[in-house]
Amino acid sequence: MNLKRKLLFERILHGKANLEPVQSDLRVVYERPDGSGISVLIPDPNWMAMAQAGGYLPPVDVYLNLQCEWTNAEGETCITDSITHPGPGWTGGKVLNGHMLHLVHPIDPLTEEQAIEYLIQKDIPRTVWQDTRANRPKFIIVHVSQLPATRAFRNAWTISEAA
Amino acid sequence: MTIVAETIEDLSSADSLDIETLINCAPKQWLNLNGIGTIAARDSFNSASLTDLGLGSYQHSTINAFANAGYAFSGAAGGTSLAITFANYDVTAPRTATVSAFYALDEAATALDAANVDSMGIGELA
Repeated sequence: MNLKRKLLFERILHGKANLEPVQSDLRVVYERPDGSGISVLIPDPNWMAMAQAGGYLPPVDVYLNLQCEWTNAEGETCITDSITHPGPGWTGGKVLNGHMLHLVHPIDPLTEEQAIEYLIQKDIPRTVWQDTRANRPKFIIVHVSQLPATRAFRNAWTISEAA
Repeated sequence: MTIVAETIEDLSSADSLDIETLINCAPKQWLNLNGIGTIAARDSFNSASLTDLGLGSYQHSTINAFANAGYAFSGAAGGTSLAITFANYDVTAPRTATVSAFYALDEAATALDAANVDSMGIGELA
């Protein structure tokens, strides 16, 4: 079956039916842009299977260039990327160029590390991974065993500068 | 095998349903996760990642984006002795076409980690 000619949703259906899920031991720990604490990103096992198989996922650039249009009560409009909400009072979020998800040829197989780098760009705000002015990284990739065993004080976690 | 049709019709009642309606009503994304310990997805569909935002607070992202942020999003949480409800929060983490966030809450509306957290989204895809 030539998946390259299929819509993204059809490729996802095919992957779900034919690939064994891959539970990754890698996590991405990052500081939320609003300074409200630490988040931990976990790759989805079915997504990781598709990433490592190749032929299913669009290039990450497609997500980075997705444009969403928002409007407010004053009738003003603004455009954001697909993971950024412009703030209170803005509604809609219509994707203007969603066809790119389907038309751009899917990517070749990725290693687990490459897949994590892809997810960082896709699902973590740009201000976290693209901040060139900060004097320390705002995220780290860790093995799951490196996370604190207890999550009781998770809301107080910080990323050590030594990390 | 591909079946091409515009409608599905019940033989006995002659009730019919447009294929487009059928497709639009089907969940386009779902997720079941273990929200205790090192959280992880047990199973999912059209899910790229989940994010632990804090105590009882989770975020989910899709592979195939929705057409806009106006899709229906719902879920449930449970698995402990406490009654747990599910709250989809649009104030502190507003929904976008690819990202939605939600809380697991106890009966006092306090966020807590739940052993079973389910979510799903229904709507038109981009």
